[in-house]
This record gives sequence, C-alpha cells and structure tokens, in this order.
Amino acid sequence: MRNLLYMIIMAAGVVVILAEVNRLPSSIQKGFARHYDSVEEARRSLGFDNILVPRYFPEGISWPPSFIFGQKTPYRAVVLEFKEAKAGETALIIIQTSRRDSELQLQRTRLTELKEDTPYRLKGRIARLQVGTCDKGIPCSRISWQEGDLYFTVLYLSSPFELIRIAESMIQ
Amino acid sequence: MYAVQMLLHSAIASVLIDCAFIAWDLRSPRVKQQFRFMAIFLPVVSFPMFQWLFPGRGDVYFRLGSLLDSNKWLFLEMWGGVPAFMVWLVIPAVTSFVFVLQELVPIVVSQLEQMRATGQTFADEVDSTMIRKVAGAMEGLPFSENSVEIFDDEDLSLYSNTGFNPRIYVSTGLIESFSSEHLQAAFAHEIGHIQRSRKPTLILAYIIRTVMFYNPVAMVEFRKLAQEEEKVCDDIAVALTGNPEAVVEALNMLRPEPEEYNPTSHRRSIKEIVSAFQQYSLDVILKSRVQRIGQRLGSEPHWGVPYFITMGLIIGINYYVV
Repeated sequence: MRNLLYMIIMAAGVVVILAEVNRLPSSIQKGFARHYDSVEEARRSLGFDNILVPRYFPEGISWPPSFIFGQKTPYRAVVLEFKEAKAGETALIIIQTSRRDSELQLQRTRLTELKEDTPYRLKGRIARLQVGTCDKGIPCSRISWQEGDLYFTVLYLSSPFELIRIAESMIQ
Repeated sequence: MYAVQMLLHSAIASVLIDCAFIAWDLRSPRVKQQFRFMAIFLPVVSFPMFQWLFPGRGDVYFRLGSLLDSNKWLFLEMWGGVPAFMVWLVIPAVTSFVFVLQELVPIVVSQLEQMRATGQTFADEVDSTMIRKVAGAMEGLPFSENSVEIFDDEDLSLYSNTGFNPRIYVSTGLIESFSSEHLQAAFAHEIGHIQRSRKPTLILAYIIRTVMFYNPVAMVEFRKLAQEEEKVCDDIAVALTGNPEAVVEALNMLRPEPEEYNPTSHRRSIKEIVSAFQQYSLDVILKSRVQRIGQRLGSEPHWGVPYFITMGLIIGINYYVV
C-alpha cells in the first residue's frame, strides 16, 4: 500500500505539472479558446468587431446566451449557446468561424440524421438549409452561410421556420 | 494531431513508468522491459481508441477542460507572429535525423559487415586449437557448435544472426583472448539473444519504434529497452553457465581501455571525439551490467498489480491530454 501511495503522489505531481504547463501559454498570450461571461467581453478580448447576434428569438429562448465560447487561435471562432427556458437544455447554437468545416468541432449538439439538405436564399445570400434530427432523436434544423471570410452556422432544435427567422434577424 | 498526441502521450507514459520503478523498486530487466513497452505501444493506439470510444474528445469544449491542450503550445505566436509549431518541428526533424544516422545507417552497415564476415569465414583454415576451444565452450549450451562461424579479425568481436537459421559469429581475436569459461559465457549471452529474438513483443516493439521514427521519447525508450535486453541476456548467460563470475569477467574484458575515452587525451578530429564519447558510453553500460550481475536478485518481484495500476494512470492522464 505504501508503494501505491508513492505512485499516486508522483502521478499527482505529474498532473500538477501538466496543469501548470497548460496554463502558461494563456498567461503569455491572449486569444486561446476560453469561456466568456458576455458577448461584449468576447468582442473586446478577441478584437472581433462584428459578432452577429439575432434580434429575433422564438418563445422560450431569450438573451443573453447561456454559454459563450471564443478563440482567436488557431482560428477565429465565437459560439453562442441559448437554453430553452422550460427544458433548461441548449436549444439554439450560433457559430461564427473563420475556418470552413470547423462547425463539427464547435457544435456540441450534432445533427445526427439528415432528412433534407437544400440551398436557401437568405436575404440575398446563398445558404444551406439542413433538416433532420439531433441527439436523442429531437427534430432540429441548421442553416449555414458565408459572409466575407467568416462562416456562420445556426442550429435550432425545432422546425426550420423559426430557424430562418432567427438567421434573417442576424443579417441587417 | 495524432502525431502530436502520440508524442505527448509517450512522454507522459515514460515519466509515469519511471515513477513506477521508483515507487515499487522494480529492478528486474524483464519486468522493466514489460513496462517500457507500454511507453512505445500505448501512445500508438491511445489516440484512435479515445476518439473511437469518445468522439466528443475531439471538440474544442473538451479542450477547454483538458489537462493539457497542445494547441496552446503549437499556436503560441512567436517573433513576428510565427506560430510556435514551426519551432517544435525541429524536435521530430532532429529525431528523424538521429534515427537515420544512428540506427538505420548502422543497421545497413552491420548487415553489410555480417555479409562480408560470412564471406570471410574460413573454418577449414582455422587453427584446430581454436575449433577445439569453441567446441569446449559450446559444451552443455543449447546450441549446435556447427552454427558457430569463426572469422579472421584481431578485434574482440562477437554477434549473432537471429533469423530462421541462427548463427553465432566470433572473431579469432576473441577466441585467442578469452579463456574457455569466458568464451562459454559470451556464447551463452548470444544464445540468449537468439532465444529472445523469437519473442513477438520485441519484434512488435521494434516495428512500432521504426514507425515512430520522429518521436524522441520512443527513441529513448527503445534504447532503454535494448539495454534491458542485454541485461536479460546476461541473466540467461548466468543461468546457462551457472557461472556469474565468468560472465562478469567476460564483460570486463570487453570494456574499453580508459585511454580510449579519457577526456584529457589529445584529440584532433571530431571523429576521434565522437569515438571517445561512444567508448565512454559503452564503458558506462558495460560497467552497470557488471555491477548488476554482482547484485542479482534471487527471484523476479510480483509486478502484475503495479503494471496495471501504471497502465491505468497512463491511460487516465493521457485521456485528458489533447
């Protein structure tokens, strides 16, 4: 048992060293992946001028986001998650990223079964509208489009009608 | 990402394995080999296994809560915004260079030398006393004396070919210098290599190590594994001959003379300095083998529980290193 204790103490030492090594880059440089308390803080800290936010929210979902994630390196990304008031589960996810096809890494809720995948004209922009089911078989829809060098994705755990209204409210 | 995690995972495994040696006072070379093999093998399978079992491990949210996020160190901006991974690339580049220079080239050269030595074999022309000496030394050893090839060389040289038709190659210089007992100890050591070369674990370790040619930790661990292998074969030699003193004396006779590596000696070229360093390293290794045989443990300790605890800690910690 004494040997086991020695081993556990040494392994704990390794864990502490790794945690410190992990902390070091963040203390040298800003912009690594982290959680933010507000969109304003993310905008200021990451130096992003144009974080698009929706003006329309369906019933049960309200401002502010329940979770805000942002990073500047290795690529620019901001993720806003909104919870549904009654269920208390994430129902709306908005992703803005500078890297194409990075949504899978940034999207905690996945569209697991795709039923429809169609192009959609979103206020003059060519968007891609996908309808299907997400985790646990919940119906969900997703719309994605490009604006300048940024890629936008909005995922909503409901029908596409409300999703389109949310996405349209993000574009001026 | 696989390559980065493999490197980090092997470094952590290596540290934890050394911790286990200290915690449980593990000294047996066979046991140490089993542990060291983990540092070579586990990192190769851990990344695909983790991703397959827990696909969410690849997303940024897992990285937020991870113990060590390699992205932070890879994308740390350096002078003029150059990402740090450009500097980190030096590590695998240097390791690959060392692999080619110190492992691949010597293997090819050694193979060529073996082929040349085989061509030089002239058993018919060898002094009959030498043949009798070899036959006497092979007596009682589980290897046919007909599979021992003598080649003409003044140096003390002995090695084995471990293929389907294993052979031991011994120089005339070594036969002349060694007594019958020392020769038997040396042959018994080579028989150990031949017997052990059929073990799939060692072959697998070599294959994995070759695949991870860019990984400095795998390189160090494999070298330590090879040194442990020499110690295991020393133990086999002691067991086969029943004469540890002869094994110790034979090893001492192979140690280089101090003037061959003495730093105070006048050296002119880089080649001489490198040679002196190699001789010094050889002496350190042989000295440690001699000392170990002197303090040989009676039986191997129980290592099953420490092994699985160490493996569990490696897997558990590495899961949170992305």
